[in-house]
Amino acid sequence: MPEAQYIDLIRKAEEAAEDRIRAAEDSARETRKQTEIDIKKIMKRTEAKGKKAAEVRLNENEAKRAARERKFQKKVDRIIAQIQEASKDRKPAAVHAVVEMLLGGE
Amino acid sequence: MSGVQSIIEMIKKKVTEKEDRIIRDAKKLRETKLLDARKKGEAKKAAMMAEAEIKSRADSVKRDANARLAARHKILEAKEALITEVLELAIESLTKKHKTKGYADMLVGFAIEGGSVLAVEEVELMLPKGQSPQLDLTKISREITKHTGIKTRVSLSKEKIRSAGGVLVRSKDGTKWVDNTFEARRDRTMSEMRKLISSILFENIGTPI
Repeated sequence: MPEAQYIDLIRKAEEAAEDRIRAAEDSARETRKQTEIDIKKIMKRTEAKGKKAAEVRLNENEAKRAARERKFQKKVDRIIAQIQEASKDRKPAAVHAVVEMLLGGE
Repeated sequence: MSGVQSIIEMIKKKVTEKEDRIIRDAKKLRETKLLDARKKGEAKKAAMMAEAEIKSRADSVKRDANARLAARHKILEAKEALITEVLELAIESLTKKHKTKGYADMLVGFAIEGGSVLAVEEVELMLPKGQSPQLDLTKISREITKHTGIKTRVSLSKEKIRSAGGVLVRSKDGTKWVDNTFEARRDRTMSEMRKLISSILFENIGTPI
């Protein structure tokens, strides 16, 4: 085989190698590009998850607070009923005391 | 030929190595970046949760405080209604007294008390409309004189006042007066009366909020 043919074979091999490297670099570039897209997706997804979880937590806390308030209101109503009930028997004495105070000295 | 072949093989080998390294590095970088993004995402999620928790707690504290305040207000309103009822019942009870025998004696006491405060020579007594109890004016004059040291003459005014009971004691010239009607006495002693009513009605009742 003539020497020129050898050189041609080597040159072709080198060209093929350059093509493969270029293809690999293109692939790496594509990978980086896709990575940035995926990162944005991850951030968006976790943010949405965080938002949802925060909303759930807020709702849970609000439900707890509302239950606490209902319980508290019942306690208040019980106290008021207790005051009204107990004052029934004491009212005549209070009226008498006021009358005495108005009639007596100030 | 074998020399050329080995050169070509060497080129292929080197390019394969380089190709692998480029792809491997890109993949490695991708893994690192994705892992980092996942960590950042989780951190952001946790921060959002923490922020929601803080907001929720602050809101809860505020609303609990408002509820406590509203409850105290509600209890006070209930107590206030009972106090008002007692005051109304007391005035109602006093209103009925002007038909009783003791009412005139009570007015004499009110007149002496008022006249002694005025300390003038001529005193007029003004009674509520529709009431004309028999008052011992001589006794009233004598008692006022005794208290003040000023010889005092007491008379009944023809003018009537609007009141449930009691008497308005004034100097004849109308410049000074002591209002001893039930309403005026109630208003003057309102603070004490409310304390008195509270102590009777609400002692040892209810637990603090």
